[in-house]
Amino acid sequence: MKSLMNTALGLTLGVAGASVAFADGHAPELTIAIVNNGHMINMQTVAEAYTAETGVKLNWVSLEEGVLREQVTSDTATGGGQYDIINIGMQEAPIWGAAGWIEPLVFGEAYDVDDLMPAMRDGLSADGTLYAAPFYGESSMVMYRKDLTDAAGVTIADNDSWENITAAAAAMHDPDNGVYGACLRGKPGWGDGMAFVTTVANSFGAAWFDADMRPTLDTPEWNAAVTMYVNLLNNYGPPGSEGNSFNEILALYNEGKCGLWIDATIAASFLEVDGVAYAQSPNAGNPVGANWLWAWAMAVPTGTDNTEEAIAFIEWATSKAYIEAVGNHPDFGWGSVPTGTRTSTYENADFLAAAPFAAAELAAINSAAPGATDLKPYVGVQFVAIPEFPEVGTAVSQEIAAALSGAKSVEDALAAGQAAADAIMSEAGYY
Amino acid sequence: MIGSIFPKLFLYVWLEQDAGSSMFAEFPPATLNLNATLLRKVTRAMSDRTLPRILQTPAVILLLVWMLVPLSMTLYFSFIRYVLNSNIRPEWTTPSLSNWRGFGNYGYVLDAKDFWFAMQNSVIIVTSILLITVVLGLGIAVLINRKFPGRGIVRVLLISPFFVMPAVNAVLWINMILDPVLGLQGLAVGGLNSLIDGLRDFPVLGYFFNLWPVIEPISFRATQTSSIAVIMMVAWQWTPFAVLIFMTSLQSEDESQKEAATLDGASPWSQFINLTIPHLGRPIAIVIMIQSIFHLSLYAEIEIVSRGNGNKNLPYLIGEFANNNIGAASATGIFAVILANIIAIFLLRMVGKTLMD
Repeated sequence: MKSLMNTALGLTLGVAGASVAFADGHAPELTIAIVNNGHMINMQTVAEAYTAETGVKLNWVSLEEGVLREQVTSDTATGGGQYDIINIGMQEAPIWGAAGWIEPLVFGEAYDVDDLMPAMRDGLSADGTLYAAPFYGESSMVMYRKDLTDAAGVTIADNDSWENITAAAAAMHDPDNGVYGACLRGKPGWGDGMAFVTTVANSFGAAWFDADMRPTLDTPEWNAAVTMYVNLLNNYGPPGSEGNSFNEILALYNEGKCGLWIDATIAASFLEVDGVAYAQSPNAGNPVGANWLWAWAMAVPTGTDNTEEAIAFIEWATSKAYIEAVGNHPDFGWGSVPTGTRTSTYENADFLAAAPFAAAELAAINSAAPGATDLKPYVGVQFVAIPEFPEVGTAVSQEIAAALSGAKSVEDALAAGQAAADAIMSEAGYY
Repeated sequence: MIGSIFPKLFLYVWLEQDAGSSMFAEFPPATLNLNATLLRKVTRAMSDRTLPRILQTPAVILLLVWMLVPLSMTLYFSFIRYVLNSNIRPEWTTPSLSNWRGFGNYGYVLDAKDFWFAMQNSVIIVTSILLITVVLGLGIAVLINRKFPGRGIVRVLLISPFFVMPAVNAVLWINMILDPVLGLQGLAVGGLNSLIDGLRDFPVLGYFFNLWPVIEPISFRATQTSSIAVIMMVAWQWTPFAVLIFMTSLQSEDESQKEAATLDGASPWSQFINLTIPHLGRPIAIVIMIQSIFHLSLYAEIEIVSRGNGNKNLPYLIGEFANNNIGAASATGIFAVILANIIAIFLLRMVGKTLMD
């Protein structure tokens, strides 16, 4: 009898719950796929205010970068409609926009589209139409320990030469006391080691493809760039550089093990050691493309049923008001606002006071050159905006890691990379 | 792909068993208390083995569908041009028969940079892990089979690595243990070097220590070492599985046989070789089979340790192709099915044999 009563009670409650949900049925729900790094995780907390204000319920799916790419790509390519809003990078945005996988974004007057940094806006547009709104953006720059360079009597200047960088790394290198001159990415992957090596290659005047989209990894410029990179890391880098990417080097740097580090400008806001100074990326005669450009942006796949609500949320999450909301949030503050998207952020006195790296970051982003040139006839700095690039970049990156490990010579590694890239590109039907 | 071994094993049992005698042996007709006609029908059906087959059919059909639908889709994709996205050939982005390509994807995969390397490496990884886990598992199981204080705690500790998730296992090993700077290895090498450095100052001893070279830490993410790292961490995780299986089996070992052997003057080693090993034949076969199935599809460890630098297997290669080229990924999948089936045939023979004996 008692169990019968419980069942009846349960049923009543269930019906009551269902009718409440029914009455509430007009407030839409948005499912948002985000990459699991700091700024995005913070957004989940800050966006509680958005739900309180508009009644839109937000379901977050937070994934690791590689998994996110895989999930979002297959869902969007097949029109799965699993997500209403997706996080995509600068490599995908223009391609997916042109393929009609994501909705064009048009925002209201208050959004102030012209406040978006020009490099970001261009990189996320296809044929002049914005397809993804930047949530945070970055370039790359040199972060070095001023105390160590002073002690060694060397200096690092903006847009220095690679010879000077190597000399500075050599001067700071002191493995007996656990300090390595230069920590640089080497982990295979088009967005990891390859991103950095591509900026080095760009600075030597090398490019991934020629005008016919044939790979050009067998050029003397690539050889010079990779040889310099391998020598620099083998002589003055930490052991195991072929496994290091952003997070690994950040851990080394914060343990005081690195003299200089060339990586994403966003790293500056995570550095916990004292006496860090910043400089613009070095080059070997060609400054175009010596520093990369990347943004994590939000886009709306065409498969969703909630297009309007999704665009409205993106408009809020990438607005000036959102940046202020993070800056004034009791849990966060101006040191953790998403940077690299809006010019107005770099004019805000609160932000400038909390971020000593602001000027260097702004200069790096503004000098990044993603557009096509005669030398580099494709869009993208540290990547190529074609769907085949992730496969090409990863294959070549594994070869360069083999050269870094000493398992292959630079010549052999680049020859193998060239052959692999050539096979992928001809398979894809480019020639 | 690899999972298809499980349904196959089931089908094998289904086809081979003498269903009429084995399944209903425990229920003599009298206890079923049925009327005579039905009883006769049932008996006839049982002797034809039709009834058991009919009863099992839903499960078998489910398994066939589960196996055949993905397999036929993979086969279809492997014969057509199919990419997720393309700027220049948009017609390739929807799977359709007009993109028929014959064996083109297979040719492309066979010529691809790492195909033969991945094939060979798949086999090397699996056999090395099997060898290490079986040998270590046997040794540890025999060691902890006797009674000693704290045996329960030791057993629990021994088995615990098996409950660590593969990705966590890889992250722990590569970052906290094997890292040449911040990991245990880096700390140990640094400690040893400074110890030797200190000893160099001693009057007589110092001469010898001056001859010692400075020890260099090894990077386990390098081309030459990354497969060793993966073999090490997977063997660490799976040895407990072997220990667990062997330990339970050892408890059923006939003690009186061993006592007789001791009385006859047989050494512990010859007892181990002639009594224990034959007794463990069946569990060894099972450990080998189950582990082969799991290790042929290793992915997380390879991804986390070196991202395919110097260490790849077929599933990893499929993952790389699946970035964009679904046709090539499917063709690689078919090669993986073929490899898994070759291994499965050997395994089923082996297990079948030990089970029959």
